[in-house]
Amino acid sequence: MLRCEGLQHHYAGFTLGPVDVTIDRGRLAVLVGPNASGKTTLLNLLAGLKSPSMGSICLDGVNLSNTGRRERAGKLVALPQRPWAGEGMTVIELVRLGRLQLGRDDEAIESALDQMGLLTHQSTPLGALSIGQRQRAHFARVLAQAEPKSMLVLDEPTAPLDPVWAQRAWAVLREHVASGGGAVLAVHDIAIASAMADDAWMLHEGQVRCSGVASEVLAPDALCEAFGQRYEWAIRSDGSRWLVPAPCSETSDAHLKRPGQSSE
Amino acid sequence: MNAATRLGLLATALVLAAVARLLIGVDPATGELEFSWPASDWITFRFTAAIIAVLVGAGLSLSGLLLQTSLRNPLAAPSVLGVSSGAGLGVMVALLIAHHAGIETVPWFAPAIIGALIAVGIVLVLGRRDGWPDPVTTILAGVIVATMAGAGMVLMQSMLPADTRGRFLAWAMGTIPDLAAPGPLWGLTALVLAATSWAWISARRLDALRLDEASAQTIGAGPEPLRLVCLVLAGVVTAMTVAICGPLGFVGLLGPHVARLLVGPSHRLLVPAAVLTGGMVLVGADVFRQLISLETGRLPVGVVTTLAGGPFFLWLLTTSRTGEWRGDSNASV
Repeated sequence: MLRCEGLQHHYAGFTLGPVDVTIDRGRLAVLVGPNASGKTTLLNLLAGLKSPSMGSICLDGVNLSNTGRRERAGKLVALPQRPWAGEGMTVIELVRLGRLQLGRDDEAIESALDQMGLLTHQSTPLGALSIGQRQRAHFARVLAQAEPKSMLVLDEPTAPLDPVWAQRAWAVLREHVASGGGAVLAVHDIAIASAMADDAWMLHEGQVRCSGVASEVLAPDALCEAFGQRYEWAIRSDGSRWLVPAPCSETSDAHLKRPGQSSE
Repeated sequence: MNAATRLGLLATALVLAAVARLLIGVDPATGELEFSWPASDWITFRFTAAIIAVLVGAGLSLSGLLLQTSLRNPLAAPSVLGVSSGAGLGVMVALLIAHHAGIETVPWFAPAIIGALIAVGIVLVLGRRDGWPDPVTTILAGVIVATMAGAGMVLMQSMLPADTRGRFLAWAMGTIPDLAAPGPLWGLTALVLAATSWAWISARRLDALRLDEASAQTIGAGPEPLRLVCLVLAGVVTAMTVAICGPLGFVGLLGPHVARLLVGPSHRLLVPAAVLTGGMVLVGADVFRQLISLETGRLPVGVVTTLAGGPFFLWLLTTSRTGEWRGDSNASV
């Protein structure tokens, strides 16, 4: 369990918090909010990449500042917003670095590469890949590093991915959560978040406006208040609901069915 | 040809260069160039010069590699960042103090190390943007520190009496002595071996410094303490070389880049390759300078390395994509 209490961080005139949140294993949580609402700052604090101005972050009851590098590398795995690797590094070198403190595990490395569809690109320098492929390589590093019970802290992991790979990444995260791990990620894609996440926090101007079960937090009214944008439920043919931004004109959304609206 | 074979070829080339240095020399009586195995009373001098050139070249190249990796800057090198000049200034200040205090000899390593570390500290502070060493600002800060420390060395020299000044003129231009007390020589040997071993053992963590800061942190590389160790080690090794040979320009820039071209960017191979290349560059420069006879004697080796390294630095400045070292390069989508 990753838990923060009274978490505050001040920088460049911006104040985050106080924030109290808990991420349980077996749950997939998403953090949503407009640009500059403090999502990245909060995730960096939760991942132990920054020290908070006030408050505490505990991983399994132990303050993060008291956990060693090696122990933390196995339990808490982060993917920053715009990860990069220097000149000449290949995909396999990057993914192997995920095991830096955890001992080499060729099976985990191969599995991670396979899950991200990079087995055939192992020896390719990252600079020769597209931005989406590079993101998949960094995602594979996270998967190679993650133990079954690891907490994953991911900042917009699917943003550069095409829809197919974004779906695949979400599926991989659901598998990780199902196997007993936990995950929290910042996302802008409300539609997919509302469909895949268990829990959600909505952040606005450095404050958690609401938190709880994703289906309740990611509600049209709350989203409208945070983003200034209307959202509506769309229902797919299989009956599942997706939140989508409301179109500007009523005529352009004829393809969508809303709850209570009969199809014609 | 795989990287290990290239490493083997580098080692062979270094040995051949060192043998060439043993075979080439200047007759002290006539000033003529000799190509022969030295007479028994001269072999110690040539052997000492060859060993010092190998060790100093290796040390400077390793320092350059550690600076480039830790600062994620391909243009970083002891001479470019003012570390060499800082160490030189430290020695000159100590020399002036010793002269006024009437002390004949002092261990020059301590003031050299202090000067080098002060220079590293100043460059780091001046080169920071948003808490991170900015590549361009760091180089500019280094140029300023190097220029000021160089001017400081000239000032210190001018404050010394002519006879003392003369003794240190060749050192200040960078020269490889053919006579050295065993203590400093063993000290330099131990330091270069220890630093090389540490860098090789830490190769994977050094590779992790090629990642963004957050990724390096989350995989447990501990980038901040690792970076500090790199910078201190680079400063101390550079200071030791400066105390013996004076400031030698660009060896620490040439060595790592040539090595990177030969074996790639992974530190497991790059560390030994950079050490071998650095040794070879300096021994090669020392051999080369013997071939050029001036009316006043031979060129100081520091002039040769600077003349060779300067254009290389300019080429690197115009062609290197520092963004790639920091992940800013544009990729096709």
